[in-house]
Amino acid sequence: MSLYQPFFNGKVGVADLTTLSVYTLDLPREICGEHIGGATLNARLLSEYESDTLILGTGPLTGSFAPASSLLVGTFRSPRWDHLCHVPFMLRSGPEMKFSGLDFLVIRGSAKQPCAVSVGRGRLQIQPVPDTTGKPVPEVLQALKRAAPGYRGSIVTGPAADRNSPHASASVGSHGSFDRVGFAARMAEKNLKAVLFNGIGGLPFREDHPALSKATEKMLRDSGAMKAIGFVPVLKGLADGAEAAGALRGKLGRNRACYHCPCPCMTYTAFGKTGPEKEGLLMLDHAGWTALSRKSEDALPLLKRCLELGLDPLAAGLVLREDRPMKEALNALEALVAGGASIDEEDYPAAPGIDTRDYRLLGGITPLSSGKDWTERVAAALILGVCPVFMQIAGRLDRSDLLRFLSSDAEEVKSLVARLDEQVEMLLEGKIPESGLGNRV
Amino acid sequence: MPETRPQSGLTLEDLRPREPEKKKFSDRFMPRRNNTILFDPAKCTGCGTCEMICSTRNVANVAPASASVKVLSDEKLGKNFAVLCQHCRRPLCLEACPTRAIEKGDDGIVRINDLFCVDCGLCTMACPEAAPLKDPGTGEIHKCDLCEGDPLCVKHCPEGALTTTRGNAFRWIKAARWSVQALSFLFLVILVVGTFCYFRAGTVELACPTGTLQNIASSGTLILVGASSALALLILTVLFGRVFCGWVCPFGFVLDLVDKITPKKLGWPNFLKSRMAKYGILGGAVGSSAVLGYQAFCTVCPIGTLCRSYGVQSVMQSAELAIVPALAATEIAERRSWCRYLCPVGATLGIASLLRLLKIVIGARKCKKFSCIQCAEVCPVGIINADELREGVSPKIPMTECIMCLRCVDRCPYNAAKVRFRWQKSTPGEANA
Amino acid sequence: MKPRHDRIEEAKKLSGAPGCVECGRCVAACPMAEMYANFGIEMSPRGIIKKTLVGDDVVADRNIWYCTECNSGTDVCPQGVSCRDLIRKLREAAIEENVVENAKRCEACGRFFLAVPVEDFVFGRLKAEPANVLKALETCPSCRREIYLLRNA
Repeated sequence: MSLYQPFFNGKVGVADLTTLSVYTLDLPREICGEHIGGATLNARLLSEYESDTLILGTGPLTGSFAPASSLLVGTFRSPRWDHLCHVPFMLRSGPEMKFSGLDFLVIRGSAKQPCAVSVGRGRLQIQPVPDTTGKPVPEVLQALKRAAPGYRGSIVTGPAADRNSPHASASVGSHGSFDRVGFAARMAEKNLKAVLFNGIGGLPFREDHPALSKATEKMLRDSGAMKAIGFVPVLKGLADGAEAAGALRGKLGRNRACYHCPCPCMTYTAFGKTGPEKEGLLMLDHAGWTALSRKSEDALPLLKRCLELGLDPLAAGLVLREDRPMKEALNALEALVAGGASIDEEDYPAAPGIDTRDYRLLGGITPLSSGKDWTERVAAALILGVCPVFMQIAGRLDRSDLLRFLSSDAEEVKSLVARLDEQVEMLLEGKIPESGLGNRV
Repeated sequence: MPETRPQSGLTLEDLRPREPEKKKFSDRFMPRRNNTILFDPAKCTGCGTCEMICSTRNVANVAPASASVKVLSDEKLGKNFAVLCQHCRRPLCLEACPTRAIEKGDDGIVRINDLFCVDCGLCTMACPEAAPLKDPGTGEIHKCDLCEGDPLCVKHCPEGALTTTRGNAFRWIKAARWSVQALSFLFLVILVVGTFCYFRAGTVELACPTGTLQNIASSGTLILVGASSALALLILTVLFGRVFCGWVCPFGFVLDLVDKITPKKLGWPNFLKSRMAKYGILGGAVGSSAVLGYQAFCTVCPIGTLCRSYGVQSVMQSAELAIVPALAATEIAERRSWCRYLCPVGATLGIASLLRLLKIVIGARKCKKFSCIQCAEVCPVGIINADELREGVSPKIPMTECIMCLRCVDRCPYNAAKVRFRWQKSTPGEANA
Repeated sequence: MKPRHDRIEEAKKLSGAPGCVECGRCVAACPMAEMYANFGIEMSPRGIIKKTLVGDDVVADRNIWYCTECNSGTDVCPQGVSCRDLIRKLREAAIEENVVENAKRCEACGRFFLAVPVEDFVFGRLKAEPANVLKALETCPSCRREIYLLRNA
């Protein structure tokens, strides 16, 4: 069975930053037959290229009517740990990439000047983005807006990555991400400041998908998963999340969801009255906030600074000493950006009671429950192209519920479940698959 | 695409919304209603499901960029918003379209006729919300056609931020107001002997505050009993605003009746368009009372003369009989022009309403602003700024002028005109008055 | 900065203008005929294509600013010439050379988004509207949506 259409465009974009050349390939059918997509297909593509290559990929469900189909997964060999790392990017980045005509993006080599790779309507471009090094993330975004107007999704790095901090975190727009394993550092190595998507195309869909999506949503609603939505309920699911939630009391605004997600787990905050209008942040990183809020009475300015610097809030939370004046704390963040303060490798990135290797392997995604089930759910999400946070919130949602979007035949769904299990196991091993295509890719 | 565009021979007049045929009596209380999409920004999470499902209808693909609805998120302030066609009552896109491809149907849906549309995008330029969207891929214009009455986006919105509505089935506030007005007319004019300007039944004493002011001025003494009975109406005004003017005043009722038979208005002369004039008249009335030694305005007060001359047991005074129709004739110029510009009783209550507890809010979350403007149309005292609504701004209501008739609240199909306490928050994006 | 000649050549190449057979279908389909009383060969797509081909200085020509950049001429051309793309490119060239007296700037973001004659046409059609509404229309569509969001969300 081929999952080629309508779930993929069947295109891989390759951008070689060393030679500043770009080309597009057809996704080899052999690979498509072997893998369902997402993280494992990323890993397979990675095996065909140099060890410093970055792969951004989508799953078969990304951009489709499956719930929370917002995932873009970045895969690379970790320079620090001897295994693969997969980093999930949410909001709209995954669908934007798929609608722009590419399913996978391979970024090889490294550029001499800071540059951005932009994808639009199947066309790849490498653009120089001078004068962005060392600038805070919002300013980088402004500069990108001038250099490549009209982009709709972006993954950018901030000063932390520019200054080779191991705790840099790539940011989706200006909102940050779950990257704790050095995706941003890898980007900085390549002198890659940003990846931009302009998803103005579309994808075919199966006739029954909208109805299936509605039915899945109803199932979730009936199961009670959608009763408490927003940042706080998810936060409370974490160890000492209740305290972190308390710190946000009275500061939260409206909820925000990623692409086609029925369970919004992000909420806007409002803080500070510096300007004529209240400013705010999008709260997205549950674990990061828990770590930060432990260190200060009012951690929102710290989080804002972390996002501006492109720094992982979790790392910042580990480094800061408790109850320091705001100014000192902000200075400590600057020091972290410069690589001045190091964190115990055992602590970062890690979650209590969770196998550190698993946690790193899956990019430091917030684990909402512990045990084998947690890793499997997240891994399945990373393969299928569905948000891993959603996958954990939506307790009743089974893998077969999602696979029904790939096939309407019950028998086929069964065989897909078996295949998915295989792939999940493979992903959790973290090994890089053998190259099998020679120079074909 | 046809080789050449068919020559339509249509004029703009054919495309504009048609006036409904003659209204039946039931239409006044149970309006004919069209389906519209209602968007609640407070519930929107910006997930973009509406874009997805809408695009499947436009291009048979999941392609959010080709949808007829666009979800915007303001990342700093944390606001999500869906831009979609509001199906204006008087569409500007229709006027601007050079090929006459846009039409407003009898069902209220504004449609783009694909045969005539050349995707020039002038509709976008003329729309206050820029709701017709240009497909960045093909350059085609996509605009909501309400899925011909059963919108897909509404069905698929996971948060229920998009809903459809037909508005209120029955205008019960209107029915209640007319009943109260008729009953008070019956009671105050027909049944009560003499005027109710000073009214006494057992221990209950009521007095007209404007009359009391003149009384104090003319007699030079403050009669505490009279003043305290005048307070009753003032307290009512502080509690509920100028409900006397909108719901009780018998002359107001006469004016509303005259308005029903004179739907075409001639217009009030510009140089007399000063809402401050009534305060001047109030001052003049009090001043001249002091000079003349009797209540100067009361002799010509239309409310008083109405009671004195038209009641069952009243004395018919020929000179006074003429005052009511003469002043009621001002209704030909503008609705309630007497109350807007001249009435000193209203002026006294207006001053009292400075201490009001309630306010009217236009443009609450679900307001459709420029596309609707029915509130401004029904407001009898013309204090809802239609131009601000056309621009997309929520107008501020000067509560000293508002007669609390609640026509706007009753008429709004989207529950966006509301009565709120003074200290409650206003609407987003309110005009600075 | 590229010389003007190069820009015109680029626009010609991109739009396929040299393929024009002067059949006049674009003129028949053009909505400008409806919009402007003085519509004639000068401002018609065919006229602009011809002037470009014979080497006139079209970049400085006011006539390129009447077009609405619609799809109709491009759709009916038997040779696949895109008068829209030609005029778009010529306008871009004019803006880069700062020949902008006929280009309309967005009041909010300052980008050029419309041609002045087209705006005049729209405002002419909307002359019954109050001044503040027309003022609000002097912003580009994306800014207008943004402003509307801030007011209403």
